Amino acid sequence: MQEERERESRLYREREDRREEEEEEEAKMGGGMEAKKNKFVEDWGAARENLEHNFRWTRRNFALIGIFGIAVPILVYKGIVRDFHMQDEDAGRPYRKFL
Amino acid sequence: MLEHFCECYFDLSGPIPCPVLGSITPLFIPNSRIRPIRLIGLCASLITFLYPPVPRIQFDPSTAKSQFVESLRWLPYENINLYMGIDGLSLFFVILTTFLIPICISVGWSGMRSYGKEYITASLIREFLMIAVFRMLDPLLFYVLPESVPIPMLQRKIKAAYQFFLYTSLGSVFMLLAIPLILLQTGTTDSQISLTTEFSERRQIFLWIASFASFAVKVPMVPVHIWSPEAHVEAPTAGSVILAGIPSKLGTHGFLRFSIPMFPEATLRSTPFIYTPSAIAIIYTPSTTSRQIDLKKIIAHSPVAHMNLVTIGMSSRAAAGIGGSIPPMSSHGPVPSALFLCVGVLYDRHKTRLARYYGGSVSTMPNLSTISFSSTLANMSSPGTSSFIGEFLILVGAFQRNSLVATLAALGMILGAAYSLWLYNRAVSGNLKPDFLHKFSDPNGREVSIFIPFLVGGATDFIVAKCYGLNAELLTLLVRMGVHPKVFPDCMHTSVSNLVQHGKFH
Repeated sequence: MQEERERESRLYREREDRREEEEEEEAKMGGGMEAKKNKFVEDWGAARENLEHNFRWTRRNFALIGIFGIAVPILVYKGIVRDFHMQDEDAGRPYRKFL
Repeated sequence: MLEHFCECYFDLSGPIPCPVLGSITPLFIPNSRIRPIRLIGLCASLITFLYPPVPRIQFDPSTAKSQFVESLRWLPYENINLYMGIDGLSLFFVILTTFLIPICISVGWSGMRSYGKEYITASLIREFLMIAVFRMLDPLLFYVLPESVPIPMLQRKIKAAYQFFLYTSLGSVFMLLAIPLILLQTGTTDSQISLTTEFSERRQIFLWIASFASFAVKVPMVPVHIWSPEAHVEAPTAGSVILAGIPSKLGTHGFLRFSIPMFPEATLRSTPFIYTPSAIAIIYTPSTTSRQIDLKKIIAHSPVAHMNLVTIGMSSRAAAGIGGSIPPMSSHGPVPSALFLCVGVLYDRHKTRLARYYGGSVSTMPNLSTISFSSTLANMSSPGTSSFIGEFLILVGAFQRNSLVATLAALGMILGAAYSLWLYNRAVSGNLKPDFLHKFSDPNGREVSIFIPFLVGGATDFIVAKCYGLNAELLTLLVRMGVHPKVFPDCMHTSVSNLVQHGKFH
């Protein structure tokens, strides 16, 4: 009796597991929808995604880093501080000090 | 010992012990029995989600004091307590956290077969940690808990995980240096006492820089934002949803909770120092995003720009700016998350994220196209969506303080709209590419049911409200945030006014 109950519960679990697997397969839409990958697109994508491996310090890169990494932030900072100081001038108070 | 432990922890309200219990229970179930493990995880997260309506209803918006305060002596030999509470600043983040975790569990429902126990445990521990962070009123534990949040996220791809962990940990080391200094001066790490302590200007600047180093990495601000797109791209869909939804808010929440009210002089003096990287991020991020080719990376850059707009709002020191910075933080939890889910649906089918392969999905997957269109509109902060009102208020606050930074922020919003539309056009509009994609399927029932709370989030809360027989007006979320945003100022106005007055900004 006890063995029979155990066997039934084991069968029930197996059945449940199988049903779950089927549900999951359905959830995955049975597969077969993978994109047909193109070698050239993949190579192009890999090169674009791994720019740090091919990065070289060239004159162009120096110029880009100088402009966008240093000059633009400094100009923005100066512009923001200048705007605050213009407000101080309009209000007739001394310039505020910033970090 | 055990009695003392039970006595101390018994009082902690539901959102804290519920995920903890839910994360422990699956450990006693064999991994082969995935169904009960998943159900326990989902039920624990849903119960945690249904719990916040109680504080929301009892929440008194007329006071700036922390409510539902729970205190527990943490270290017996120092005045350091586990001190938690909710105020108008943290209320929406707790709700957002509890909203996103059941969705993450549903996203990984079929994929977690071989590691279900670990998945559920990691998700629920993460939920517990994030709720605790948002409720924490003690700077020491505010340091400890966010440092623990990345641990359950280290799921895939070693490089991105290391980058994420190292960036956040290195940033936080500075805050660890600041905490003993606060403890030395105030004799406690209780933020309520620290807030009433006058720090000297020099000390304020040191403490502000230390906390800024920690929070700037978490926001993330330029140039310490590199970890964010990498971590988003390499994480599974559920990981990306959580990463976009919660951890980036830890930094801005830290600014609001500690940096701005505790160190007001230093905040005033460092305004251009915050404005500059924020404005740069708002311009640079959409510009670099429009050159990305990975669908997930395109979306991963959007929280960077949005969160930097939030830092501009907070630094504007105006009620409109600070008050306006909270709705975008709540809104930019669900919005990029919904977009990540859309990409997840495409990736599950086609196993690629390269934008080059996609096009014309509107004719093959109309439901997904509609969902991604509404998410794209929200990402662009179109009027009527949840992001609009907050970003508008931030711009109003920024214009009151500095017209240049407001102009740059407005320009960044236009660039943001440009890359959002570009992404939508590349993936959804245009011609089909049968050379690459030949078989399609619209989202199935499970996937649609995951999207529904994002689109009609208000309805779920409304049902909850009806169940509790409560005022539904307080219980709105997401879409209703766009058409009925009054709920935000109602709940947080007193807290924000207190913050502005406490900071002596005027």
